[in-house]
Amino acid sequence: MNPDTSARDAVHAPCDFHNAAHSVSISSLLNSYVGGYFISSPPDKTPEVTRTTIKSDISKHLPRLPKWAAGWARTFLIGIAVALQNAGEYLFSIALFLAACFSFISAVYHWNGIEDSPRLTRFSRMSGIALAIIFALAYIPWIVIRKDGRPWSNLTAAVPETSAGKTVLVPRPPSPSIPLGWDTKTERHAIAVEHVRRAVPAKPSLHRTEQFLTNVMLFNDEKKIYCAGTMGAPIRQTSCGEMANVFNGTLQNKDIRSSLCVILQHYLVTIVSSLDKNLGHMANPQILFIKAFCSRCNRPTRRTTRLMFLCEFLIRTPICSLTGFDLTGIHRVCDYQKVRQ
Amino acid sequence: MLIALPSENQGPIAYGVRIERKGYYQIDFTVKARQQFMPGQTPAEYNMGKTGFEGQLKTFIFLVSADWEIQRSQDPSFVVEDYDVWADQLAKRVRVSLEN
Repeated sequence: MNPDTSARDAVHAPCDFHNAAHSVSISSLLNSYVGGYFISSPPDKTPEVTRTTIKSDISKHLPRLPKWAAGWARTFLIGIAVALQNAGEYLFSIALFLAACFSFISAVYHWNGIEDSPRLTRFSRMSGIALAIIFALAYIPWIVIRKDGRPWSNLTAAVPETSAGKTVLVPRPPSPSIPLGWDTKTERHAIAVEHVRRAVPAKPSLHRTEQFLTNVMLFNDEKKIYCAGTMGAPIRQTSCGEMANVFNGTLQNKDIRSSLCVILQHYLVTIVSSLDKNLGHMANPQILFIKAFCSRCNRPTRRTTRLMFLCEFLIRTPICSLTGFDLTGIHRVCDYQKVRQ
Repeated sequence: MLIALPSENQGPIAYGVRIERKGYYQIDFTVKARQQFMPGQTPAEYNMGKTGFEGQLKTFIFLVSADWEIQRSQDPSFVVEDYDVWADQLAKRVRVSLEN
Protein backbone atom coordinates (compact mmCIF):
# COMPACT_ATOMS: atom_id res chain seq x y z
CA MET A 1 0.00 0.00 0.00
CA ASN A 2 1.33 3.29 -1.02
CA PRO A 3 1.58 5.46 2.01
CA ASP A 4 0.63 8.54 0.08
CA THR A 5 -2.50 6.95 -1.36
CA SER A 6 -3.63 5.51 1.92
CA ALA A 7 -3.10 8.80 3.57
CA ARG A 8 -5.14 10.58 0.90
CA ASP A 9 -7.94 8.02 1.20
CA ALA A 10 -7.82 8.34 4.91
CA VAL A 11 -8.26 12.04 4.56
CA HIS A 12 -10.98 11.94 1.87
CA ALA A 13 -13.17 9.19 3.24
CA PRO A 14 -14.66 11.14 6.12
CA CYS A 15 -14.82 14.14 3.90
CA ASP A 16 -17.15 12.45 1.37
CA PHE A 17 -19.35 11.22 4.14
CA HIS A 18 -19.53 14.68 5.48
CA ASN A 19 -20.49 16.10 2.05
CA ALA A 20 -23.31 13.61 1.61
CA ALA A 21 -24.73 14.36 5.02
CA HIS A 22 -24.40 18.11 4.41
CA SER A 23 -26.22 18.00 1.06
CA VAL A 24 -29.18 16.20 2.62
CA SER A 25 -29.45 18.66 5.44
CA ILE A 26 -29.34 21.71 3.06
CA SER A 27 -32.10 20.37 0.82
CA SER A 28 -34.31 19.71 3.81
CA LEU A 29 -33.59 23.18 5.16
CA LEU A 30 -34.32 24.82 1.78
CA ASN A 31 -37.59 22.94 1.49
CA SER A 32 -38.66 24.08 4.89
CA TYR A 33 -37.54 27.69 4.22
CA VAL A 34 -39.34 28.12 0.86
CA GLY A 35 -42.55 27.07 2.47
CA GLY A 36 -43.13 23.66 1.16
CA TYR A 37 -42.89 24.39 -2.53
CA PHE A 38 -40.45 21.64 -3.14
CA ILE A 39 -42.03 19.33 -0.62
CA SER A 40 -45.24 18.98 -2.61
CA SER A 41 -43.44 18.86 -5.93
CA PRO A 42 -42.02 15.58 -7.08
CA PRO A 43 -38.33 15.23 -6.55
CA ASP A 44 -37.67 14.50 -10.23
CA LYS A 45 -39.40 17.67 -11.54
CA THR A 46 -37.74 19.39 -14.54
CA PRO A 47 -36.28 22.93 -14.20
CA GLU A 48 -38.76 24.46 -16.75
CA VAL A 49 -41.79 23.41 -14.80
CA THR A 50 -40.25 24.74 -11.62
CA ARG A 51 -39.57 28.13 -13.24
CA THR A 52 -43.19 28.41 -14.48
CA THR A 53 -44.53 27.69 -11.06
CA ILE A 54 -42.32 30.33 -9.50
CA LYS A 55 -43.35 32.88 -12.09
CA SER A 56 -47.05 32.26 -11.54
CA ASP A 57 -46.57 32.46 -7.81
CA ILE A 58 -44.66 35.73 -8.10
CA SER A 59 -47.33 37.26 -10.33
CA LYS A 60 -49.94 36.12 -7.83
CA HIS A 61 -48.23 37.69 -4.85
CA LEU A 62 -46.82 40.86 -6.36
CA PRO A 63 -49.01 44.02 -6.40
CA ARG A 64 -50.79 44.74 -9.66
CA LEU A 65 -48.35 47.40 -10.62
CA PRO A 66 -47.90 46.38 -14.28
CA LYS A 67 -51.64 46.59 -15.08
CA TRP A 68 -51.98 49.91 -13.30
CA ALA A 69 -48.89 51.24 -15.02
CA ALA A 70 -50.17 50.08 -18.40
CA GLY A 71 -53.46 51.94 -17.95
CA TRP A 72 -51.73 55.15 -16.99
CA ALA A 73 -49.20 54.79 -19.77
CA ARG A 74 -52.08 54.68 -22.25
CA THR A 75 -53.52 57.90 -20.85
CA PHE A 76 -50.07 59.38 -20.85
CA LEU A 77 -49.66 58.47 -24.51
CA ILE A 78 -52.91 60.23 -25.44
CA GLY A 79 -51.84 63.33 -23.49
CA ILE A 80 -48.50 63.43 -25.23
CA ALA A 81 -50.23 62.98 -28.58
CA VAL A 82 -52.48 65.98 -27.98
CA ALA A 83 -49.55 68.04 -26.72
CA LEU A 84 -47.48 67.14 -29.75
CA GLN A 85 -50.16 68.23 -32.18
CA ASN A 86 -50.25 71.58 -30.39
CA ALA A 87 -46.51 71.78 -30.83
CA GLY A 88 -46.78 71.14 -34.56
CA GLU A 89 -45.57 67.54 -34.51
CA TYR A 90 -48.58 66.09 -36.27
CA LEU A 91 -46.98 62.88 -37.48
CA PHE A 92 -45.72 61.90 -34.03
CA SER A 93 -49.06 62.83 -32.56
CA ILE A 94 -50.90 60.45 -34.88
CA ALA A 95 -48.40 57.70 -34.19
CA LEU A 96 -48.72 58.02 -30.43
CA PHE A 97 -52.49 58.23 -30.56
CA LEU A 98 -52.72 55.14 -32.73
CA ALA A 99 -50.39 53.33 -30.35
CA ALA A 100 -52.61 54.30 -27.43
CA CYS A 101 -55.68 53.10 -29.29
CA PHE A 102 -53.98 49.84 -30.18
CA SER A 103 -53.03 49.35 -26.54
CA PHE A 104 -56.60 50.02 -25.49
CA ILE A 105 -57.95 47.56 -28.05
CA SER A 106 -55.53 44.93 -26.82
CA ALA A 107 -56.51 45.50 -23.23
CA VAL A 108 -60.19 45.28 -24.07
CA TYR A 109 -59.66 42.15 -26.15
CA HIS A 110 -57.85 40.39 -23.32
CA TRP A 111 -60.27 41.54 -20.71
CA ASN A 112 -61.59 38.74 -18.55
CA GLY A 113 -65.06 40.21 -18.53
CA ILE A 114 -67.94 39.71 -16.19
CA GLU A 115 -68.26 36.14 -15.09
CA ASP A 116 -72.01 36.04 -14.69
CA SER A 117 -72.98 37.68 -17.95
CA PRO A 118 -71.09 36.66 -21.05
CA ARG A 119 -73.43 38.68 -23.24
CA LEU A 120 -72.67 41.88 -21.40
CA THR A 121 -68.99 41.03 -21.56
CA ARG A 122 -69.15 40.50 -25.31
CA PHE A 123 -71.13 43.68 -25.81
CA SER A 124 -68.74 45.73 -23.65
CA ARG A 125 -65.74 44.29 -25.41
CA MET A 126 -67.12 45.00 -28.86
CA SER A 127 -68.21 48.49 -27.84
CA GLY A 128 -64.78 49.28 -26.45
CA ILE A 129 -63.02 48.05 -29.55
CA ALA A 130 -65.44 49.93 -31.81
CA LEU A 131 -64.97 53.13 -29.83
CA ALA A 132 -61.21 52.82 -30.01
CA ILE A 133 -61.35 52.27 -33.77
CA ILE A 134 -63.70 55.24 -34.23
CA PHE A 135 -61.44 57.50 -32.16
CA ALA A 136 -58.39 56.31 -34.05
CA LEU A 137 -60.04 56.92 -37.41
CA ALA A 138 -61.45 60.30 -36.38
CA TYR A 139 -58.16 61.52 -35.00
CA ILE A 140 -56.40 61.39 -38.36
CA PRO A 141 -58.76 63.75 -40.27
CA TRP A 142 -58.91 66.01 -37.23
CA ILE A 143 -55.14 66.29 -37.30
CA VAL A 144 -55.20 66.90 -41.05
CA ILE A 145 -57.64 69.78 -40.51
CA ARG A 146 -55.52 71.15 -37.70
CA LYS A 147 -52.41 70.87 -39.83
CA ASP A 148 -53.86 73.10 -42.52
CA GLY A 149 -50.93 73.31 -44.87
CA ARG A 150 -48.28 73.24 -42.19
CA PRO A 151 -45.58 70.58 -42.35
CA TRP A 152 -46.16 67.23 -40.68
CA SER A 153 -43.22 67.82 -38.40
CA ASN A 154 -41.06 70.73 -37.44
CA LEU A 155 -38.06 68.59 -38.16
CA THR A 156 -38.94 68.38 -41.83
CA ALA A 157 -39.71 72.11 -41.94
CA ALA A 158 -36.38 73.14 -40.49
CA VAL A 159 -34.08 75.19 -42.65
CA PRO A 160 -31.75 72.83 -44.45
CA GLU A 161 -28.31 73.48 -43.12
CA THR A 162 -25.13 71.62 -43.57
CA SER A 163 -23.17 70.31 -40.69
CA ALA A 164 -20.84 73.29 -41.02
CA GLY A 165 -23.77 75.68 -40.54
CA LYS A 166 -23.93 76.90 -44.11
CA THR A 167 -27.36 77.33 -45.67
CA VAL A 168 -28.05 75.35 -48.79
CA LEU A 169 -29.07 77.74 -51.54
CA VAL A 170 -31.87 76.49 -53.77
CA PRO A 171 -31.44 77.82 -57.32
CA ARG A 172 -34.29 80.05 -58.52
CA PRO A 173 -36.18 78.91 -61.60
CA PRO A 174 -35.34 80.87 -64.73
CA SER A 175 -37.77 83.69 -65.49
CA PRO A 176 -39.55 83.66 -68.85
CA SER A 177 -38.19 85.90 -71.57
CA ILE A 178 -41.57 87.67 -72.00
CA PRO A 179 -43.49 88.07 -68.76
CA LEU A 180 -47.09 86.97 -68.53
CA GLY A 181 -49.53 89.78 -69.37
CA TRP A 182 -46.99 91.97 -71.09
CA ASP A 183 -48.49 94.66 -73.29
CA THR A 184 -46.43 94.86 -76.48
CA LYS A 185 -47.88 98.25 -77.51
CA THR A 186 -47.13 100.11 -74.33
CA GLU A 187 -44.27 97.77 -73.45
CA ARG A 188 -45.58 97.67 -69.92
CA HIS A 189 -47.32 95.06 -67.87
CA ALA A 190 -50.94 94.92 -68.96
CA ILE A 191 -52.30 94.45 -65.46
CA ALA A 192 -50.30 97.43 -64.21
CA VAL A 193 -51.61 99.57 -67.10
CA GLU A 194 -55.16 98.56 -66.31
CA HIS A 195 -54.60 99.34 -62.64
CA VAL A 196 -53.30 102.81 -63.52
CA ARG A 197 -56.31 103.47 -65.75
CA ARG A 198 -58.80 102.43 -63.08
CA ALA A 199 -57.09 104.17 -60.19
CA VAL A 200 -59.35 106.98 -59.06
CA PRO A 201 -58.55 109.01 -55.97
CA ALA A 202 -61.05 107.97 -53.32
CA LYS A 203 -63.11 110.78 -51.86
CA PRO A 204 -62.86 110.98 -48.10
CA SER A 205 -66.03 110.73 -46.10
CA LEU A 206 -67.62 113.93 -44.86
CA HIS A 207 -66.98 114.37 -41.15
CA ARG A 208 -68.15 117.34 -39.08
CA THR A 209 -68.53 118.14 -35.42
CA GLU A 210 -70.38 120.82 -33.47
CA GLN A 211 -70.06 121.33 -29.73
CA PHE A 212 -71.57 123.62 -27.13
CA LEU A 213 -72.21 123.76 -23.39
CA THR A 214 -75.46 123.48 -21.50
CA ASN A 215 -76.48 123.63 -17.86
CA VAL A 216 -78.58 121.33 -15.78
CA MET A 217 -79.84 122.34 -12.35
CA LEU A 218 -81.04 120.15 -9.53
CA PHE A 219 -83.49 121.48 -7.00
CA ASN A 220 -85.30 120.26 -3.92
CA ASP A 221 -83.05 117.37 -2.96
CA GLU A 222 -82.47 116.45 -6.57
CA LYS A 223 -86.04 115.43 -7.13
CA LYS A 224 -86.62 118.19 -9.64
CA ILE A 225 -84.35 118.71 -12.57
CA TYR A 226 -84.19 121.82 -14.67
CA CYS A 227 -82.37 122.54 -17.84
CA ALA A 228 -82.62 124.70 -20.91
CA GLY A 229 -86.11 124.47 -22.33
CA THR A 230 -86.92 123.62 -25.90
CA MET A 231 -88.28 127.12 -26.43
CA GLY A 232 -84.88 128.68 -26.76
CA ALA A 233 -82.64 131.19 -25.06
CA PRO A 234 -85.06 134.16 -24.70
CA ILE A 235 -87.45 132.14 -22.58
CA ARG A 236 -84.61 130.53 -20.68
CA GLN A 237 -83.52 133.81 -19.20
CA THR A 238 -86.78 134.15 -17.38
CA SER A 239 -87.64 130.58 -16.60
CA CYS A 240 -86.23 127.13 -17.02
CA GLY A 241 -88.08 124.09 -18.24
CA GLU A 242 -88.47 121.23 -15.86
CA MET A 243 -87.18 118.01 -17.28
CA ALA A 244 -88.90 114.69 -17.12
CA ASN A 245 -87.09 112.59 -14.57
CA VAL A 246 -86.77 109.25 -16.26
CA PHE A 247 -85.57 107.71 -13.03
CA ASN A 248 -88.92 108.49 -11.38
CA GLY A 249 -87.28 109.46 -8.13
CA THR A 250 -84.18 110.75 -6.46
CA LEU A 251 -81.00 110.45 -8.41
CA GLN A 252 -78.33 108.13 -7.23
CA ASN A 253 -75.89 110.18 -5.18
CA LYS A 254 -72.96 108.08 -6.26
CA ASP A 255 -72.89 109.27 -9.83
CA ILE A 256 -75.14 112.27 -10.28
CA ARG A 257 -73.35 113.46 -13.38
CA SER A 258 -73.83 110.21 -15.23
CA SER A 259 -77.48 110.15 -14.16
CA LEU A 260 -77.94 113.65 -15.51
CA CYS A 261 -76.20 112.58 -18.71
CA VAL A 262 -78.76 109.83 -19.11
CA ILE A 263 -81.58 112.28 -18.53
CA LEU A 264 -80.14 114.60 -21.14
CA GLN A 265 -79.77 111.64 -23.43
CA HIS A 266 -83.50 111.00 -23.19
CA TYR A 267 -84.09 114.68 -23.66
CA LEU A 268 -82.03 114.54 -26.84
CA VAL A 269 -84.30 111.78 -28.12
CA THR A 270 -87.35 113.99 -27.79
CA ILE A 271 -85.56 116.96 -29.34
CA VAL A 272 -84.19 115.04 -32.30
CA SER A 273 -87.47 113.28 -32.94
CA SER A 274 -89.43 116.55 -32.90
CA LEU A 275 -86.82 118.26 -35.07
CA ASP A 276 -86.87 115.44 -37.54
CA LYS A 277 -90.61 115.68 -37.65
CA ASN A 278 -90.37 119.38 -38.40
CA LEU A 279 -87.79 118.71 -41.08
CA GLY A 280 -90.15 116.28 -42.75
CA HIS A 281 -88.13 113.15 -42.36
CA MET A 282 -90.06 111.44 -39.61
CA ALA A 283 -93.80 111.08 -39.31
CA ASN A 284 -94.09 110.18 -35.66
CA PRO A 285 -91.72 110.84 -32.75
CA GLN A 286 -92.71 107.48 -31.33
CA ILE A 287 -91.44 105.83 -34.46
CA LEU A 288 -88.04 107.37 -33.98
CA PHE A 289 -87.99 106.03 -30.47
CA ILE A 290 -89.04 102.62 -31.64
CA LYS A 291 -86.36 102.78 -34.26
CA ALA A 292 -83.87 103.68 -31.59
CA PHE A 293 -84.53 100.42 -29.82
CA CYS A 294 -84.79 98.48 -33.04
CA SER A 295 -81.43 99.84 -34.20
CA ARG A 296 -82.96 100.95 -37.46
CA CYS A 297 -82.49 104.70 -37.32
CA ASN A 298 -82.25 105.09 -41.06
CA ARG A 299 -83.71 107.82 -43.09
CA PRO A 300 -87.20 106.56 -43.91
CA THR A 301 -87.70 104.77 -47.15
CA ARG A 302 -90.64 102.69 -48.21
CA ARG A 303 -88.98 99.58 -46.85
CA THR A 304 -87.85 101.07 -43.56
CA THR A 305 -91.25 102.64 -43.00
CA ARG A 306 -92.83 99.22 -43.36
CA LEU A 307 -90.30 97.85 -40.92
CA MET A 308 -91.08 100.59 -38.45
CA PHE A 309 -94.79 99.96 -38.64
CA LEU A 310 -94.08 96.29 -38.15
CA CYS A 311 -92.03 97.14 -35.07
CA GLU A 312 -94.81 99.33 -33.76
CA PHE A 313 -97.36 96.59 -34.35
CA LEU A 314 -95.19 94.05 -32.58
CA ILE A 315 -94.62 96.32 -29.63
CA ARG A 316 -98.33 96.95 -29.25
CA THR A 317 -99.02 93.24 -28.93
CA PRO A 318 -99.48 91.90 -25.39
CA ILE A 319 -96.30 89.83 -25.60
CA CYS A 320 -94.16 92.83 -26.35
CA SER A 321 -95.88 94.93 -23.77
CA LEU A 322 -94.51 92.53 -21.20
CA THR A 323 -91.02 93.52 -22.26
CA GLY A 324 -91.50 96.97 -20.77
CA PHE A 325 -92.39 99.20 -23.70
CA ASP A 326 -94.70 102.03 -22.82
CA LEU A 327 -95.70 103.91 -25.91
CA THR A 328 -97.81 106.40 -23.98
CA GLY A 329 -94.59 108.00 -22.82
CA ILE A 330 -91.35 108.65 -24.57
CA HIS A 331 -89.26 106.39 -22.42
CA ARG A 332 -89.36 102.82 -21.35
CA VAL A 333 -90.86 102.04 -17.99
CA CYS A 334 -88.18 99.62 -17.05
CA ASP A 335 -84.86 100.61 -15.61
CA TYR A 336 -82.78 102.47 -18.11
CA GLN A 337 -79.61 100.75 -17.12
CA LYS A 338 -81.14 97.41 -18.00
CA VAL A 339 -82.17 98.78 -21.35
CA ARG A 340 -78.68 99.88 -22.15
CA GLN A 341 -77.31 96.48 -21.26
CA MET B 1 -80.05 103.95 -31.03
CA LEU B 2 -79.02 104.97 -27.53
CA ILE B 3 -75.28 104.84 -27.14
CA ALA B 4 -72.64 105.21 -24.45
CA LEU B 5 -69.32 106.11 -25.99
CA PRO B 6 -66.15 105.14 -24.14
CA SER B 7 -64.24 107.89 -22.43
CA GLU B 8 -60.98 109.31 -23.68
CA ASN B 9 -58.08 109.29 -21.23
CA GLN B 10 -60.29 107.96 -18.46
CA GLY B 11 -62.66 110.89 -18.76
CA PRO B 12 -66.42 110.76 -18.37
CA ILE B 13 -68.51 108.55 -20.61
CA ALA B 14 -70.54 110.30 -23.29
CA TYR B 15 -74.20 109.28 -23.48
CA GLY B 16 -76.20 110.01 -26.55
CA VAL B 17 -78.37 109.14 -29.49
CA ARG B 18 -77.13 107.69 -32.74
CA ILE B 19 -78.95 107.93 -36.04
CA GLU B 20 -77.29 105.58 -38.42
CA ARG B 21 -77.57 103.90 -41.77
CA LYS B 22 -74.76 101.43 -42.21
CA GLY B 23 -72.45 102.39 -45.02
CA TYR B 24 -74.15 105.73 -45.59
CA TYR B 25 -74.21 108.02 -42.59
CA GLN B 26 -73.88 108.16 -38.83
CA ILE B 27 -74.99 111.05 -36.67
CA ASP B 28 -74.17 111.09 -32.94
CA PHE B 29 -75.68 113.52 -30.46
CA THR B 30 -73.84 112.99 -27.20
CA VAL B 31 -73.71 114.56 -23.75
CA LYS B 32 -70.68 114.52 -21.51
CA ALA B 33 -70.29 115.92 -17.97
CA ARG B 34 -67.79 118.76 -17.65
CA GLN B 35 -67.93 120.91 -14.49
CA GLN B 36 -70.00 121.57 -11.44
CA PHE B 37 -70.87 124.89 -9.81
CA MET B 38 -70.67 125.47 -6.10
CA PRO B 39 -73.96 124.72 -4.32
CA GLY B 40 -76.28 127.71 -4.65
CA GLN B 41 -74.30 129.26 -7.46
CA THR B 42 -76.23 129.70 -10.72
CA PRO B 43 -75.04 130.56 -14.23
CA ALA B 44 -74.83 134.27 -14.94
CA GLU B 45 -77.07 134.08 -17.99
CA TYR B 46 -79.85 132.49 -15.98
CA ASN B 47 -82.27 134.90 -14.33
CA MET B 48 -83.61 132.82 -11.52
CA GLY B 49 -84.93 135.66 -9.38
CA LYS B 50 -84.81 135.61 -5.63
CA THR B 51 -86.90 132.72 -4.49
CA GLY B 52 -85.08 132.02 -1.25
CA PHE B 53 -84.23 128.49 -2.37
CA GLU B 54 -81.04 129.31 -4.19
CA GLY B 55 -79.05 127.38 -1.62
CA GLN B 56 -80.71 124.15 -2.70
CA LEU B 57 -79.72 124.56 -6.32
CA LYS B 58 -76.92 122.52 -7.80
CA THR B 59 -75.76 123.35 -11.31
CA PHE B 60 -73.81 121.11 -13.63
CA ILE B 61 -72.26 121.92 -16.98
CA PHE B 62 -72.44 119.44 -19.84
CA LEU B 63 -70.80 119.36 -23.23
CA VAL B 64 -73.21 118.56 -26.02
CA SER B 65 -71.66 117.30 -29.26
CA ALA B 66 -73.16 116.69 -32.64
CA ASP B 67 -70.84 114.54 -34.66
CA TRP B 68 -71.73 113.21 -38.06
CA GLU B 69 -69.95 111.29 -40.76
CA ILE B 70 -71.37 110.77 -44.22
CA GLN B 71 -69.81 108.18 -46.47
CA ARG B 72 -69.21 108.68 -50.17
CA SER B 73 -71.48 105.99 -51.49
CA GLN B 74 -71.70 104.53 -54.99
CA ASP B 75 -75.48 104.75 -54.72
CA PRO B 76 -76.56 107.56 -57.08
CA SER B 77 -79.74 108.19 -55.08
CA PHE B 78 -77.67 108.99 -52.00
CA VAL B 79 -76.64 112.64 -52.31
CA VAL B 80 -74.02 113.37 -49.71
CA GLU B 81 -74.60 117.12 -49.72
CA ASP B 82 -78.32 116.72 -48.99
CA TYR B 83 -77.61 114.54 -46.02
CA ASP B 84 -74.97 116.96 -44.83
CA VAL B 85 -77.52 119.78 -44.90
CA TRP B 86 -80.00 117.60 -43.05
CA ALA B 87 -77.48 116.69 -40.33
CA ASP B 88 -76.37 120.31 -40.06
CA GLN B 89 -79.95 121.46 -39.54
CA LEU B 90 -80.47 118.86 -36.87
CA ALA B 91 -77.30 119.95 -35.07
CA LYS B 92 -78.25 123.63 -35.23
CA ARG B 93 -81.72 122.99 -33.87
CA VAL B 94 -80.30 120.94 -31.02
CA ARG B 95 -77.94 123.79 -30.28
CA VAL B 96 -80.81 126.28 -30.25
CA SER B 97 -82.72 124.03 -27.89
CA LEU B 98 -79.97 123.32 -25.41
CA GLU B 99 -77.19 125.88 -25.67
CA ASN B 100 -76.76 128.27 -22.80
